[in-house]
Amino acid sequence: MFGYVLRRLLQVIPTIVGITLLLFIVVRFSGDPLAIYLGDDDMVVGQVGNDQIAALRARLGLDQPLPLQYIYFLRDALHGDFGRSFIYQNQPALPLVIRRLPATAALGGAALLIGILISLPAGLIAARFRNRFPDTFASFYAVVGEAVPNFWLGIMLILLFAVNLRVLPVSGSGTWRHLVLPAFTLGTGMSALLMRLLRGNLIEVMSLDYIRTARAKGLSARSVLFKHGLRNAAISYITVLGLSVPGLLSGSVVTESIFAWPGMGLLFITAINGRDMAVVQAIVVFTAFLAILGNLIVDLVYVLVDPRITYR
Amino acid sequence: MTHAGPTAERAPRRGAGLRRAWRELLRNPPAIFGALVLVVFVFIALFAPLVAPHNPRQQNLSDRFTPPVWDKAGDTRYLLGTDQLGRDILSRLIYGSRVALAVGVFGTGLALVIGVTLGLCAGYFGGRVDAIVTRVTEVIISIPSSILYITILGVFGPSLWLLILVMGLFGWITSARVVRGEVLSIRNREYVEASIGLGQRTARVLIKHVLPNVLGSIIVVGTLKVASMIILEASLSFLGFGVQPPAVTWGQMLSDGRRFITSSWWLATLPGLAISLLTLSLLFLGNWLRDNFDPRTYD
Repeated sequence: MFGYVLRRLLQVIPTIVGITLLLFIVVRFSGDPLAIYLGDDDMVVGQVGNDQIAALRARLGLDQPLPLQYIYFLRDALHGDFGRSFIYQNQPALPLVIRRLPATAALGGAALLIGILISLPAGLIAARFRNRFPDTFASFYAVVGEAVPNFWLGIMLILLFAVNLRVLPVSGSGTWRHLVLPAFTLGTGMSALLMRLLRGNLIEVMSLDYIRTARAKGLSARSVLFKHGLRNAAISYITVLGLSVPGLLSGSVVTESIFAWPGMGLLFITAINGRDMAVVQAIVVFTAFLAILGNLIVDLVYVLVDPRITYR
Repeated sequence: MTHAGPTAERAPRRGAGLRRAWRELLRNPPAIFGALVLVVFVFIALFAPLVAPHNPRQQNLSDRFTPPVWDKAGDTRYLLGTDQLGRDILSRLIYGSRVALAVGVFGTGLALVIGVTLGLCAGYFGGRVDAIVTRVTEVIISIPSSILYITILGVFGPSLWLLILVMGLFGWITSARVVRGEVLSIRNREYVEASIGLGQRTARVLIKHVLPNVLGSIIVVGTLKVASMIILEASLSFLGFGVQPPAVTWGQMLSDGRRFITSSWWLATLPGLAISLLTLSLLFLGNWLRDNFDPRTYD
């Protein structure tokens, strides 16, 4: 077990190197980092003398060869140092990002909850009544849920519940009522995906021999479905929950900007529009870190929960 | 079985397959719907200047905020109404389909070229090649996709070609995975081993014998991928990182329309309907293809 965990942790290293390398390349190829550092390039660079610029380059390590610059970048990133934001009063970038985590986590958690609350019963019913009306309806829901873009769904929810019915706020944050529409916006797409997966797995599991045995020994249909079917289909369902972290973070960018929800997604849009590269880089690495963490947790839980899996 | 050579592996004649596909299609109402809608969208995108009743950029400030024709205040000149600058919504939707389909089709094309190549190599050669592809895949799926795309588009400045390039460069994961899996299952079949044994070059074995057998899955993955790229393009345009004006895109129309949501519902509603209709048709078609011709691919 310990060996497995260690090996799994070691596998994360090349991923982190890859992510930071990709980020480094994108940021470096987009222009002189000194201009970005100094803010408004033409004005400031004109005022600063050449020797001052050279000194600044040396201090920032920009006179070093590129591979070495990447090593410095990686070193700083691993220490949580992405530089300072120039939009937010020169604060360090990473703490600024982490401060937005609770809002995004609340949104993502609520969305996941909605996804589960819809997909679990829908998937069970669809698998139980396979190819009959409830199943057809659930499958239709799954396709529509995938086809409708979530940002449009969000706007339609605003139109219906905030503008016409006036029962929920249009945007902002503060109370649970502010969370309802963004959570539904983000959660419905999730529910479609989860439902399709659960239905498929249940149907596969329910055709196995031990299910026939369970039926043959006279267990009720409900008991077979829940005790023998769902338990075994649940493993991949749980896996997908863990793997949904990057998808939720990705969806939260557009959802948060529609509803002015003050999480990392909204911060990201503000930062990229203001070319606040320190904050942008901190968000890319931090969200990727969360995704890797989710993946890691799932892998470990997987091994603990499923006795059929041995840790090689 | 007098000639049990490589010829015995041949698929039935092409005409027969198409006739079977046609018969199957007619039995599946969602797939018929999908095919019809898709044909209509492709037609209006190709012939937009002939189909659109107005110039999509022509402003008529005296006709601003005209609701669709079924509303009491509607105007028969503007079937789906006008926007905040008096531009015809229907014409803008028609021109918007060009960007959506261009990004979806070209982005998917590029993604498939990369994904199929990498998937073929990873599955066929295994070992180190496979490990490298897996590592690269892990890097790409770890960064939330919209954050990755917006960072690149924001840093370099958004444009149609950069959008297509970025979607292709980072959108190949599913196709590589599916192709890799399929190749693993056919690599050790007799006809592949036979062609290796005959001394054929690896590239020839891959293209002549392995690729045709994964073509079905590639078509399914590609169809579904076009749909997801159209949604992605729309959401990037919505956030201001997609194709820029004067080009007309659905995402941009939605983002403009959102500002007038309390007074003019149709501005944000209609472009979203257009996106949903197009992606729905692709998903119906893709799911039908998967169910009928490719039972091995899931997702």
